[in-house]
Order: sequence, then structure tokens, then C-alpha cells
Amino acid sequence: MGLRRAIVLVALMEVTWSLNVTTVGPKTVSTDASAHPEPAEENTEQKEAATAEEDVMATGELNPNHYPAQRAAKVVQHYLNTRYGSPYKLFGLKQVHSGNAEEVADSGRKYQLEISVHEIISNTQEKCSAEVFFPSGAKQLSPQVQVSACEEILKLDAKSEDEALYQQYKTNKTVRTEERLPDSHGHIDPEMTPFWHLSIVASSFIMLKESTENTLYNVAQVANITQLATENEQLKFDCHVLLHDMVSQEIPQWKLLFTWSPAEGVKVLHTEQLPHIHEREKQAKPN
Amino acid sequence: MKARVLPRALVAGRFSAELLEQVVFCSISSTLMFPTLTFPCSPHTDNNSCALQFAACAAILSVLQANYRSAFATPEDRFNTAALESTRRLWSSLHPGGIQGALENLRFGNRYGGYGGSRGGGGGSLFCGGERHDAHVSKGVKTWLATPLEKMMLNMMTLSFVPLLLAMVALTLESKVEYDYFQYHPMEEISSWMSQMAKQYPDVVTIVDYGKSYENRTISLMRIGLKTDAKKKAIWMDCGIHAREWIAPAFCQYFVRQILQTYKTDAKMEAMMTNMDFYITPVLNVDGYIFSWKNSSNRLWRKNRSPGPSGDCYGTDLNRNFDANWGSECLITELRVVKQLVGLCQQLILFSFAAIGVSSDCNSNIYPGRGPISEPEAQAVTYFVGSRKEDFLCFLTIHSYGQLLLIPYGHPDFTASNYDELMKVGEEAAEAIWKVHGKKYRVGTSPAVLYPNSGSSRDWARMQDIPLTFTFELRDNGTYGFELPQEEIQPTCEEAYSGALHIITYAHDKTFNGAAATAAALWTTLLALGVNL
Repeated sequence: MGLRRAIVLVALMEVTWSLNVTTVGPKTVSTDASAHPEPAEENTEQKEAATAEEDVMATGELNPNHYPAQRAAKVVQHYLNTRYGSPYKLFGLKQVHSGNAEEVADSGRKYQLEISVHEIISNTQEKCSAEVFFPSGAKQLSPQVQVSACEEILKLDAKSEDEALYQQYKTNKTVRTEERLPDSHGHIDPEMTPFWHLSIVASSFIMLKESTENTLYNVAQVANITQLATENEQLKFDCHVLLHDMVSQEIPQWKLLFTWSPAEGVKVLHTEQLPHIHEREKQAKPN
Repeated sequence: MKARVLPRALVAGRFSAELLEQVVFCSISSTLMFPTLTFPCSPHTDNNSCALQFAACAAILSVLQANYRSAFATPEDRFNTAALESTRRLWSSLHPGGIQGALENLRFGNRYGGYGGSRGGGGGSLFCGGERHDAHVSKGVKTWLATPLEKMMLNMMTLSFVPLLLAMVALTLESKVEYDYFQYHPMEEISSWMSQMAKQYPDVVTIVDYGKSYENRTISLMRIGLKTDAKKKAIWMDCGIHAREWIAPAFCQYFVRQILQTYKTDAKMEAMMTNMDFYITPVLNVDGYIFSWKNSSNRLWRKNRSPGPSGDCYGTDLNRNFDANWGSECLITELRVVKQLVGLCQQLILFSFAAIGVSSDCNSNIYPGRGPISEPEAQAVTYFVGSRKEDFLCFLTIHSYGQLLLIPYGHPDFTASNYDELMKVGEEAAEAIWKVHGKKYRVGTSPAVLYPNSGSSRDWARMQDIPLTFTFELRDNGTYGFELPQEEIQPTCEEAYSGALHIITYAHDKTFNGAAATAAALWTTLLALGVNL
């Protein structure tokens, strides 16, 4: 083993060194530190890790293909969906063109981004400017987002389709899913598609709130969505969603209660994170 | 009509042993004419329409033959220009190309020495489902004086020939089950597809069982290459190391189909299959993949299915389990000190101890296991590739989603010695991908583009000095994520194939066009020297 390592070592002799040896991601630090056999060094390690981490956190001009700009841009997608999303209007991130990050004296980090936003249903895209602020501190506060220079895509008219759906489900029909959206093969029943979109929009409130510089959220799957009685002219839904955080590769699961109407958009009434799947398996009877 | 002389189209269909699966007969020839009817099904034609084309071909041939018989009933008729002309018009209306020349030759029937000509028979090729089926036809065709009995026999032969051929086509179709590469397949179907491919291409495809999963299932790869005596280099591709990434095994199957379809007609692919063997594992994490198919609530499982240390949690992330900076404590303080003293020692320590992007919590989706290569699936790859590592030019591991091409290393402080080359080849591959369907794939190291991680198969492979190691993260960007719709399988596979092929071709050319490269380098050196002198 040692010999092999030595050989590899020799092979690596041309490796260039970065002087900022940090090596630790924040999540790893917390888990490893707890398992560390030498408690005396623990605090030093964590502190050094934290400062080292900040050294590495990119500031100044960002490479648009690299993760810091990409993660911040994803937050903009979630923001746009919470503000403008509907059953017939859903935004995705097409591309990051450029980015810039800076420290904001003791309160957090601010990103400035030029991105292309994509409206998925009409398949149109537009360049936008956005600012994302990640507050620092012990209590996890949600990021703040401002968007400018992309009015066209936000004004895209889906009003007639939204209105038709609204009228249909206000009194006549009720939706209740049989299958997950999408199903295992990526299929969604066309009649369910607007509700899949709606669930993503509602989930965007959670994804926006939970996002940090160390997360990258997408909706993995909608386990189910059930329509409840219409209240105050708002369609009301209960849904269970599975999110995917790319960085941890975990699937956090949430239940949401939300309302929607073309006039008011999506409003989330209640959210609840479900315990990790393994906890629920423990409680359930083994197969 | 006097039928004293009749050319006999000797239908000598010599059928090889694999007839029912491979050979579709579609040509009849005679001394006096060399009809070469080809119905080129494109490589994308499905077998059903190919069979229809074949049937049409056979039917047309029998019509032509009947026509010929009636038009040229006597030797003298060969000089009957009117009959010749009408026959020619009929034939060209049925098959515009290629027949003209053959029919012209009828004018000069004597060129063929009259009857009994032994000019080589015509040949025909029918391309069905992308495979060329060669028709073995008469090497010698004789004409003969037809007695009424012989004429009757010929008629019967002709008449029975078409239905016989059609029956054979039907049988061919039945025995070769149509495999849909653009649907997701459960493990049993993938396994039987692998066996089927080995049976269909026995000269180029071998199944190699190289390990067992935790639940004791066989892990198999397909070794694909042309048999030579020379020492061959190798390309590695594995798919499905993470259970939920269903598009990856779909791509491996598509890749296999593509190289098997193209090597017979594409000289470059043939050369690559001669110089290299492709080792392709369609599903590496067999247990995990099967588990993700079991029911819809398992669909997003990632890891393998070995139980954790405490027994109440399951699964190790196989892509954190390889012996490449495998997860252990990070000794940052020590590093800072040692760094100033001995650079090499520093590397050694970092290399031994630096772990990143893992979690010691067994429930975590990035749990790296009890120790490096603690998992049988990771062991299988390690032993198989490790024992042949000098042979491998290229190691590709296929994942989803994210639309990325990732290069080593997963650790932010380690840079591959050929980083520039990896980036260049990666960017070129991304360009090739973009050209297919306009999808952008980002290129870079994992820590730069995605997140840091340790224990990945790609890093381990690079550490074995396999020069070109890439992780492919296929479609999409998060809209459907792991449940990529089946309609997207084809475009995803097409673009990924283009990217993978670029990398593989580069790896091949670097090694096997070495003579050319050396000569070029030599000239450059000489010229430079010349300038200096």
C-alpha cells in the first residue's frame, strides 16, 4: 500500500499547489468533527476549516460554469417561479453568462448574475440580470433575490389557459393523483401536467427558503397532489413532494398546503418537512 | 410460345449457420444478366419494414424472372431488340438503378459464350436493421435446354421460392426479438439482451462475469472487439453505478448497438475495434437498479444494498467507495505545518487522509462505506481494471443528471498531471454533444463545476495512470431529473454517443497513429534546429 502511494506520489510530482489548503466542505466538517478522536483539536479544526472555507469561497468575478454562480442562479429560478409561476408558466435556468460575488460586511454574500431564463411551456428564453443575497449567521435565513431586465418573459401570457383550468376545477372537477408525477419512466398524464407545474411552483417557495450557497435544489418528483374544497375563490391543494439537493444528493420530502388562482397566484399556507425516509422505514413493518 | 431454351436462374442460396438471424436472401442472377437489386434499409429501419422490403424484392424478382422467361423464350430472342427494350423498361420501372447495364449486355449475348456461362453470379446485399445481410448466390449459372419437365420444375421452384423466402423472413423475425433501445428496461431484460447480443455477434462480443453484488447477483460486462493476435488496448465504460440514474444503462445499451452497427461499414470504427477492446458494463449496481424498479417509492434509490454497520440502514454510495482519497479524517492543522517543511510529505499525507464530499452517517446518500473498496461492486471494478490497467486508454463512467463532463480529481487540491489535455478533450467532446441537439454540457473538475468528492471510480482510474477518465452526467438539468421521459432517451443517447466517441477516438489516435505523430514531432524538431543553425 505504502509503495503504491509512493509511486503515485512520484507520479504527482508535477502537481501544482494551491496555498489555500482547506479540503473541507462544511457538512463534512460537522460530521467528521463529531467522530474525531482528539477533542482538543476539534475546535481549532472547525475554526480553521471555517476560515479556510471563506478563503476558498469565490469572490470577485466568477466562472459562470462553476458551481458558485450556478447555485446562485438556481435560486433565481426558484424566486421567479414563486412570483410568476402558474400551471401554464414555469421557469428554468438556461445558462449563466457571467457572475460576480462579494462579501457584505459581516452580514452575508451578494451575487450579481447575468443569466438566461427559460419559460419551459412556451419554450422561450430571455436574458436577465439578478442579484442574490445569502445572509450569514447561525439562524438560517432565506436568500433575497432581485431580478431586472427580463420583463418580456415574465409578462408572457398564460392567462387564458390558467383561467380555463381555474374555472374547470373550481366547481366541476377535482384532481387527485393516482401516479407519481412524473412516474418512474418520466411519463406524466397530460391532464395532470398543469398540476405537476403547480406543485413545482409551490415547492419553489420551499426551495427558495432552504437554499444556501451549499445547496442546489430541484423537484425530484411529486408523490401526490390532492385538491381540497375551494376556499375564498382559491383552489386549494395538499401535496407531497420529493426534492433533490444535488450537493448532498439527498431527497428531502415535504408536505405542502397551498392555494392558487389566476388572480392571486400560488400562496403557501403550510409546510412540513417529513423525517428522512429511513426513519419512516424503521417505524413501518419490515417486508 | 416455344420454350426450348430457357435460362435457368440457379438460385443457389447458400445459407450460413446463423441464417435465421442474419442472412436475408434477396438476389437472383443469371449468366445473361446481373441484376443487383438492392433495397438498402437504412441502419435505422426497423426489422418489420425491412422484411416488407425484402418481400417486395423477392416478389419483384419473380416478376422479372417470369418476364424474362416470356420475353426471351428462344436464343434468337436475345437479339430481339423490341423485347429487350420492353423488358428493360419494365425492369427499370421496378428498380431504376443498376439494371440498365446488365440488360445492355443482353445484346451481346455471345460474349458470354452462349450457354453454360460461368461468369460469377450476381450478388445482393440487403441492409436490414443496420446489419448487412449478404446473399450468397450462384457462383456459376448455367443455361440449359429446358425440357417441359425442367421448365415445370423451374416454375415450381420459382413459385415456391417466394413463399419460402417469406417464411424464412418470418422465422427470422420471430427468433430475433425486436429490442427497443428507447425504453427503459428492467434488469432481466438487460441480461437477456446481453446474451442475445453475444449470440448474434459471436465473433466480436463476449460476456465476462467479473464480480458479484452484495445480494449475490452476477456483475457482467460485454467485451467487444475484433479478434486479433496483437496485444490490444482497452476502453472502459460503466453505467448504472447509481441505481436511480436509469438513462445511464440505457446509454450503455445504445452505445453497444451503435458500435456493433457501424464497425462493418465505418472504417474508423473497424480500426478501433481491431486495435482496442471495448469493456462495457451496462449495469454495475445491479442490486440497486433492481431495487429502484421494485416499486415507485424505491425509484430514487442511489446506493447499493449492503447493510450498514448498525444493521438498520442500507447502502453505500459506490462512487465514494473507491480507493481514491477514500473518506477519513481531515488533518488540516498538520497539513499547514508539514506543508512548510516537506512538499512531498505533504502530498503523501493529504493523499492518505484527505476526504471530502462524504458523510460518515450510514443513512446518508453519500456514505462511502466501512472502508475503501468495502463493497463487492467496487471490488469487482478495482480487480478487473486494476489487473489490466496498462491496457486501458480511457475510463468513462456514466451518470445523470446535470449535463456535465467531469474530469479528475474530485479533491480540490489535487490536479491531474494531464489536466490541460483532459480539459481540451472534454471541451471538444462537449462541442460534439452540442452539435447533435444543441444541449450544453459544462466541462471541468467535480470540485469546480459541481462539488468536491472523494472515492470516485473516475479518480481511482486516473490514479491507475489511465490517462483519459471522464464522468458523464447526462440529461437533464433538473426539470425531470432522474425520471427522464422515454422520449428523451434517443436524443440523449445520440448526443452522448457523439461525445464519448470523440474521447475514444482521441485516445485511440494518440496511441495508434503514433508513427504519424512521431514523424511530425521529428520534423518539427528538425526544422527548429535548422532555424537555430
